[in-house]
Amino acid sequence: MSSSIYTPQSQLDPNITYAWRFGRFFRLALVTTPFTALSFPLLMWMFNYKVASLLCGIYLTYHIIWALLWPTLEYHFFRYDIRNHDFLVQQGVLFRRSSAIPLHRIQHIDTHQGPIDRLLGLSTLMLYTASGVTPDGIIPGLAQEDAQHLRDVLSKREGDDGV
Amino acid sequence: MSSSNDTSSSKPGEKPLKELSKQAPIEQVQQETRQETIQKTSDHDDSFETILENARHLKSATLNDNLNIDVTEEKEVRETKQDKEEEEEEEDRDLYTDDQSIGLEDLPTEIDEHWNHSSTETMELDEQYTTSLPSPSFKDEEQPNLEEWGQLHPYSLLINLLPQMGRTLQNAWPLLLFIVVGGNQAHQVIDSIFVLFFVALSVIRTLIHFLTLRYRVQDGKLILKMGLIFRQARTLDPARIQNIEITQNLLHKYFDLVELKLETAGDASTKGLLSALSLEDATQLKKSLQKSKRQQQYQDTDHPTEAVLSLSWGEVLLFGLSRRTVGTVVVLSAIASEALSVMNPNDAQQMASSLTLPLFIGLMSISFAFSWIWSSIQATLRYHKLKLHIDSEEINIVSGLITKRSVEIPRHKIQTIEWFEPWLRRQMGFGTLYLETAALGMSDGEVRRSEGVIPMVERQYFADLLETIAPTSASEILTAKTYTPHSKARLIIVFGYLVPAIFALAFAWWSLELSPVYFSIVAVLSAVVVIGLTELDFQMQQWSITPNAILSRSGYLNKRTWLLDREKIQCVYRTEDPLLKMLGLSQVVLQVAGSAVYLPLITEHQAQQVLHDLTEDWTEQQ
Repeated sequence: MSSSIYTPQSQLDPNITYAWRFGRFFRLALVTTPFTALSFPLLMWMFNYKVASLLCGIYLTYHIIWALLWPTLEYHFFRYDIRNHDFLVQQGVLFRRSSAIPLHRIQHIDTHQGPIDRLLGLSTLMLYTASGVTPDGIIPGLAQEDAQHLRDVLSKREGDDGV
Repeated sequence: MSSSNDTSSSKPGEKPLKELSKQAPIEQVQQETRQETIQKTSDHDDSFETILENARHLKSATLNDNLNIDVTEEKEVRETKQDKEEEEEEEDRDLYTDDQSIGLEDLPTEIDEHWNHSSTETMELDEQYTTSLPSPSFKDEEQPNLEEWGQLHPYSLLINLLPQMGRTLQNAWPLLLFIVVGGNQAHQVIDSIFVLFFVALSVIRTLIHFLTLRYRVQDGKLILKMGLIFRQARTLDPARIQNIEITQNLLHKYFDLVELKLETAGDASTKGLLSALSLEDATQLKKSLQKSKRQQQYQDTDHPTEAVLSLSWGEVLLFGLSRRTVGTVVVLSAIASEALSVMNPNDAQQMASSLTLPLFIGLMSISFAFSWIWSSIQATLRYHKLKLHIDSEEINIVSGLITKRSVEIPRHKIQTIEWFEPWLRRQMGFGTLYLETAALGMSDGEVRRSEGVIPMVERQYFADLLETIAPTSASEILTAKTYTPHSKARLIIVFGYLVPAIFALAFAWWSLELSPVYFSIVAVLSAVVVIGLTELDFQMQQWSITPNAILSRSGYLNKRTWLLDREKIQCVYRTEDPLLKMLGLSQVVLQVAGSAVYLPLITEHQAQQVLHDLTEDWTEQQ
């Protein structure tokens, strides 16, 4: 058995970082900031000015980093590949996860497109096996043609579900 | 288990059973022979066990008949079958259009929602189905025909009423509680009207369930239809059935009926439940489904297979005794003392001051005794006289004191096998075997852990039993070289014991008001316990991978060993969080349908190698 460990190489479409940033800033503006503004007086009443500003500062900074810096890192660490017998995904910045899905176990494939994805011409591909209700492999940023091509290639395979 | 080996060998030169069984005339012959045997057997003895054994007899008899029929007749038979089918279709259509006898259309819609909660399952029915319900074919007792629409036994009205009331109560208990407790004298009439309304609702639901539920077997598949306003049709493919359960409670027994439950992969709502069928109907339905399911030629021995394992009442009792742990009692008494102090602080203070050591020990033993008695009763009710049968295709577990259960699991549907040895049971030399399929069943309101449970298996017998249940993977995995987790895994294991220990210490600090000296002694002792348990747990953890199977073992107090066929793996992944990354460790997870198996913590490189080896497998399965 060859001992060389294969690491996937393909990267997502760079445009996905814009989609992630947009979504996260949207959330920052609509949810996080109002929530912080409301909880600040409450914290001030419970503790004091310093504690309140510290807690709110940490909370806001975390979300700003998550919206501003994180998409680039996530993009950098997300690698996937389709070999002729399985599908590899490596993802995560701090919490890393690498998974392998055998192609003959794929039950069905979804492509999903939100409004921002559509503007940027991106698609999300979701691979399902018989193991559960949640998709076992998600590739969030694929150019639309690539996603459709992948879906067609993968769904042509016949397999045994092992259930 | 030499018999099981014989049965799996196939006779050369004969067509697969599946094709033969589709032929209509043969079906009739079978049914007649079956019927004769049923009548013979049901005359003299009708206890659950004997009937089940007779069913096994019957299975073998009919299957042997089947195999003796010459295959050259096949073509003719097929032609006649087609003609017959066309005729039948015409008849069916007449029935659908003529029958308008059930006219309860104007009932409120909420009534139906209850058994249509799985609305995602609902399929669009053909027009002929939606216009009216098919006429229930009251089969003549002589020859039940599964191709016609059958319905539940009329006594199901009685049998289902109580459970239905229970469910109604469950859904509406806050309202009922409010009515019964909250109302004053003046509102008694209104209260009773409300209660009557709920009773009536249950009765109507039961009635509708009985009147609308129809089942039939078509092309080897079971078709269920139900519902009055929201109609539902469900097709169960025998090849997809994960397990078949036949239950008989006291009411069922009184009327000589059984409940048949078919489970498929996925959530609990996809199952087929026929709550009251006569035993003949149930066994025949079960058999016809099993028959069309079998891919290979199948030949059973003439006599029912001997029980591979049967539990004595003593073993069941021991199972009950070893189920409740010290932990349960500690948690319960902690909750009780908290509740006491909240309810009446003064009394609690008084009690605490008068609490001497003998009294404390006495109270603890009483609570232990109660907990043990309760769990022994539960175990006896569930597992009394458990018998395990294994043939070449199926595993059959029959048990129960009042409610008798018979679970059948096809051997190739087993996804994982879990060998569970809690500390006490391990000391007695026993363990529990869980056979897990892809079905996620519900029982008693919670997600049931396993479909097949063999509560008490002697440790020395475990290897043999595993060999009969899962022959391919078992023989090699139990003798294979095992690996230990990385030594740094202790730092992760310790968290599992540290967190409850800290909680216990905090509880001791706040509520027992120990002096600092005593408290530090307790703290040191618990630190020793935590470290000791961590080390023991670490020593217990093992994993191994052979060409066909995977083993993962963990836990000291609750030792568990998972066994898994490599063919059953759906996908694998490896995770790292910042802490694991710092220690250079990885968590490997193997996903199978319905559950997942976690390997002990190993180094990143080992994990990569494991993933690599497993993916290499898949190149061969192309």
